[in-house]
Amino acid sequence: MTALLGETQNIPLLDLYKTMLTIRLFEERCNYLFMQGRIPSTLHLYIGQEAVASGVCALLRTDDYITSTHRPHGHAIAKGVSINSIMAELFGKVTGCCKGKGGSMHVGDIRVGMFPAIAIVGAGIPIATGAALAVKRLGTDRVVVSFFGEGASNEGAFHEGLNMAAIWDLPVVYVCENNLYAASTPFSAVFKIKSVSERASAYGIPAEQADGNDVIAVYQAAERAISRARSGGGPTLLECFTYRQCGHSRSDPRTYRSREEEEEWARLDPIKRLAERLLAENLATDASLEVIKAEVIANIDAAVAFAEASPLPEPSDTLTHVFYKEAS
Amino acid sequence: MAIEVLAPPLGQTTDRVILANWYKQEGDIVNEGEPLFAVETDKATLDVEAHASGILRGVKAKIGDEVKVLSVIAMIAAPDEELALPGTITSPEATRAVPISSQDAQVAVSQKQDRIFISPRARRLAEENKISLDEIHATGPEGAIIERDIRLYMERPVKPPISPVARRMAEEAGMDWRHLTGSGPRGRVMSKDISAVGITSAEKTARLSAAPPEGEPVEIIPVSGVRGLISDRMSLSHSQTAPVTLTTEVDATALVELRGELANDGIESTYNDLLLCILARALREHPRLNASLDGDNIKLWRDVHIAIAVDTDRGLLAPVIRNVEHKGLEQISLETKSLIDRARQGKCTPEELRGGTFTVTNLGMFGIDAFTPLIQLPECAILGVGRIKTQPVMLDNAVVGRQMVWLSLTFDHRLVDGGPAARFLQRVAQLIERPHLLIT
Amino acid sequence: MAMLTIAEALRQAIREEMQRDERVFCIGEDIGIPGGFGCAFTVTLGLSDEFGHERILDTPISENGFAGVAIGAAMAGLRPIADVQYGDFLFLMMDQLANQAAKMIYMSGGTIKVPLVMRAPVGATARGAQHAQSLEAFFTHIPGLKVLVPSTAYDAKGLLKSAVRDDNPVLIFEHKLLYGSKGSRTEKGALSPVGEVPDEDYLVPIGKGVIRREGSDVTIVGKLLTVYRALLAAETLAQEGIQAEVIDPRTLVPLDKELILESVKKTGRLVIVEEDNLTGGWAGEIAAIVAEQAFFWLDAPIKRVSAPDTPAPFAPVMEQFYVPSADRVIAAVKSLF
Repeated sequence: MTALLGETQNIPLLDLYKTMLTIRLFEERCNYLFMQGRIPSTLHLYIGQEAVASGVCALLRTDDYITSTHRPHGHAIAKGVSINSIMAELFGKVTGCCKGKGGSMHVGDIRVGMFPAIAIVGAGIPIATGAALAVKRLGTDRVVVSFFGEGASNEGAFHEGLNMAAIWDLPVVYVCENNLYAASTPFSAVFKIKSVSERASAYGIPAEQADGNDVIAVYQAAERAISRARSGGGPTLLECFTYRQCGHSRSDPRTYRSREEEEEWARLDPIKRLAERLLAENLATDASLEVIKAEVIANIDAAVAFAEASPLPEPSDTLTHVFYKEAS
Repeated sequence: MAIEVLAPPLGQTTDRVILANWYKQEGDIVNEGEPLFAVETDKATLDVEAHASGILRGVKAKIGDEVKVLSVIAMIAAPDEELALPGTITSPEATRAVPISSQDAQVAVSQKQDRIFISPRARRLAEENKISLDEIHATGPEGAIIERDIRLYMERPVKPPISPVARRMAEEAGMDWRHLTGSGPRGRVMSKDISAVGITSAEKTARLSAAPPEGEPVEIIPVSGVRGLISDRMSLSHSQTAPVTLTTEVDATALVELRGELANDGIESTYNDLLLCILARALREHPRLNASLDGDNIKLWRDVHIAIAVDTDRGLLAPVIRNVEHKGLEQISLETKSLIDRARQGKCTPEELRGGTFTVTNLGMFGIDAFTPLIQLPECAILGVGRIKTQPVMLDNAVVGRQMVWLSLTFDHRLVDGGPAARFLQRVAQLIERPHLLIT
Repeated sequence: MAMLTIAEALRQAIREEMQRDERVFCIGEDIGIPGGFGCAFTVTLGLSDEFGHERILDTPISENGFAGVAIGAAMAGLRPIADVQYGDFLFLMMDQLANQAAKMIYMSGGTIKVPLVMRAPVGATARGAQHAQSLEAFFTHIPGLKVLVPSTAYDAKGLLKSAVRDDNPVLIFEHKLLYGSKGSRTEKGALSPVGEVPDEDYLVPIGKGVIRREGSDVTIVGKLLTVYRALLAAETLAQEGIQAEVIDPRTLVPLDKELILESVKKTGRLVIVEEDNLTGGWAGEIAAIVAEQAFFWLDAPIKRVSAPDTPAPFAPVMEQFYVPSADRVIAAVKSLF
C-alpha cells in the first residue's frame, strides 16, 4: 500500500533514507569483508528488508525495547546501536557491542534499548512479552517491539507469547517480516493460511499489514500499532511483506528461488523506491543523495578502521561474565 | 593497483573449496558485482561476484582444482598494469597419514605380574614412613592394602613389651621372656603369661598322674609365678641333663677352727663364705667343672661366678657372686650377705640372678647330710652341702670326735666325666680338711 | 522462631521478599487462582489475597512461553519468581532457560542480567515416569545457571531469599516428599521435616554446603531426599562402629567443593547418593572432582548410589526399588571397608 503524497509531511523521510542506506551499505561491506576472510564466522544479512527496521524503529524511543533475531544488523542500526560497535563485534574485538562474546547473531545494546539478538527462532517473542509485562508493571509508557520472520510464527513460542500479551493487554508490537522464505522453505509449504496476520484474531489482537518494501507504509502502520501499545491499547501483530535479496547466510546458493523472482523484487528495492520518492517530492536531488551516500560510506570506513584497530579480547576473557557480579 | 581475487571462505567444515567454474577468462573485462567464478563447497555450489572492475589476469586455478580458502586465485588489474605474479598454487599435498603401527597402537600394557593393590591413601602413608609394601598384610576391599594395614604395621611392637611385674618374675626365675607373645595389648607380656608357662607343664603332669586323694585340700597353691618357673626349670634340668651325684664325707674340723680364729681377729664369716673361697680355687684348677653348655659347645670359663641357692618366701632364688676368685674373704662375706638379704626381700637386680658358672646349695641348717641337688642349666655342676656334725671318726687308731660334713656334687655327665668330677670334689674336700693350703 | 514445614518456609520467604521489593512477583500456573491450591504443593497458597493477581500472575499452560516472559521481565527490570508444577516440565522450557536465561549475561558482554528464580518440585511420588524425575543434573551442566537444593525449612527460606536477591538465573529444586504440605496435598510417604525458622529476615548463602552429621570413617554426600536417607544409614552404621559424615551441599552450582574435599581427606572414603539415574548423573561429577583433587587421600574406591537407568516406575514396590534406600547406602558404605 503506497502512502499518498500528502500524508508524508510528518515522516522523517531523509532520516529514513539515511538509515536504510546505512544498513544496505553496512551489510554489503560486511559481505565483502567476509569474502576477504577478515570477519570470522558467517553472517545473516538484511539486504532488501531495510524499510521494515527503519520504518518501525523511527517511531521508537531510546528507552523502548526491541528483540531481534539471527538477522539483527538492520534492527541494530535502526535502533541506534553504533556501527562502530557492531563492526567491532563482527571482528570479534573487545570494543564490540558484546565485547566479542556475542558475535553477529547477538548484537545489541541495552543503552539504546536493544536486547542482544536471540538466534533461537521465535524465542525472542515471549521475551518481548515479558519485557512488556515489566514496563507496564513499572508504570512506564515504554513499548516493546519484537522482530521476527514468518517462519518464527510457526514456533510454539509465537503462539504462547502472543496469547499472554493478549490476555494481559501488554504494550508490545509483534513485527513479522514476511520475506517469503524461512531459510530455503517457501511460505506456501508451511502455511495453510495466506498470511501470518490471519493469526492475530486467534489471540484476539488486531493485525496490521504493510508493504515491507515501502518505508512510508511501514512507518504508518507501525505508528498505529506503537501508539496503540503506548496508550494502553494492547498488542498488535504487524506483518510486513518484504524480500531478502541476499542468501539466508553466506553459504546459501539461493537455488530454491528463481532469478526472475529475485529480479522482480530487485525492482521493488525499498531504497530505490524511496530515492525516487524523495526526488519526486523535491526533498532531495541526485547530488544530495550522493552526499548522503558518501557520508554513509565514510562512516562505514571509519567503523571498519575502528574495528581493525581495536584490540582483541584476551583469551582468558572467555572465563568472565558467566555470572553477573553478586548483588549485595 | 591490482586487486587479489581470493577463494572465499564458504566451506562449513573444510578450509578448501573446489573451483567449479570460471565465468571469465584470462584477459577478459570484469565488472564489479558480476559473477566471476563459482566454487563448490561441502554444502553447495555458489557463485562469487567480482569485487572490482578491471581485467582478469593471473588466473591460477583451473576448473576442478581444489584450492585453499583465502588463497589468491587471480588478479583484477588495470588494462595496462604490469603484474608481479605471486607464486603458483601447488596442488595441495596429500596429508600423508602416518600409519599407526600395531606396536604403537597398542596401549603399553603393564606387564607387572605381581601387582600390589593399594589405596592411594595407604600408599602415601607408606611412602611418608618409608615402609616397604612387601611386609604388609592387606585387609581392604578387593584385597587391597588400605590405611589401617599400614598403621597396624607401623604400630607393631619391635620387641614385645613386658609389664614390670612380669619382668621381675621372669628375671627371678632366670627365664628368657622375649620369645613369649603376651596376652596384654599389642602382645605385651603380662604376669599371668609368665605364670602360665608353668601351668601348661602342670596340666601335662596332671594328665599322667594317678588320681589325687579325695576331699578338700587344706590349701591350694597354684603352680604359677616363681613356683611355676622353678617347676619347669627343675623338670627341664632333670630331663635334659645326665646328672650324677658324687657324695663324700669330709672332715671340716680345721675349717671350723679357722672360722673361730678369724672371728677372734674380728673377721666374721660363714661356712658358706669360706666354702666360696675354696670352690673358687678348686674351680680355677678344674675348669671342666666351671663350664656351661651352649648349643653344641661346652664353654669353659676362667672367671668363677658362683650362684648361692637362697630359700625365700617366693621360692628358691640363686643370686650370683661374681669373680669369686679375685675376692678376699671379707669382700665375699659382705657381698654374699647383701645378696642373700636382698634376695629374701625380692630386691635383686636381674644381673645378680644370672650368669653363674657353678652353684652351691646348703641344706645343712635343716639337718640334711647328703642329697641330690639338680643342676641349674646351663651350668654343668652344683655342690650340695650338708650339716656340720660331730661324728666319731678313726684317727691314729683311736676313735675321736671330729666335725664332719657331707658334700654332694651333681655333675652333668654329658659335659664332664666321673673322673674329673671326682678329682674336683677330692680337691674341694682337701681344701676343707686343710684350709691352710689356700694360701699356696 | 517458628516450626515450619518447607512449604510454609518457602511461602514466608516469598511473602517477605515481595513485601521488601516491589519488583518481585510470582508467575506460574495455578499459583493465584482464587480457591485454588496455591500451585501444585501449596507454596503460594493465600499470597494472591495479599498481593493481588498482577503480582501473583497465573499463566496459561505455556511453560516455554512463560519462561520467556519471566526472562524478558527480568531483563527489563522486574524480579520474577517463576515455577513449574512438576520439575519434569522444565524440559518444555529448556530453550528459554539454557539458550536465553543462562547465556544472556555472557552474550551481552556483561551488560544484561537476568535476575530470574525458577522453582521446581522433583522426586518420585507414585505418579508415573513423567511426574517423577530428579533432573537437577541437567541444569548443573549449563554455565550461567545457579542451582539450589534446599532440604530443610531453614535452608528453604534462606536460600529462596538469597536467590531472589541474586542477579543471576537461579533454579531451586524442592523435593515433593519434603514439603510437608498438609491437607489435600499431603504426600504419601512424606518426611515432612519441620524445622525451626527464624521470623526475621535472614539469608543462607548460595554456594555453601553444610555437614549434617560429623564422622571420621566415610563421607556421604546426598541432596534433597537422599540427605535423609544418608542420615538414616549413618545411624545404623554407627551401631556397627562406622562413623559416617553426612554432607548436604545445599547448592549444586556453585558447588562448595572445599567442604567435600576436606571431608574426604579426613575420612578417606566417599559415597554419593542421589535420586537420579546413574549414568551421567550429578554423582559422577562429584566423584570426578574428588578423584582429581583428593585422589591420594582415598582409601577405597568412590561409590555412587543412584536410581537405576530406567524411567521412574509407578507401582510402589518398584518405586521403592528405584529410589535409593538407606539400606543401599549402608551396603555401599560397608563395601568400602
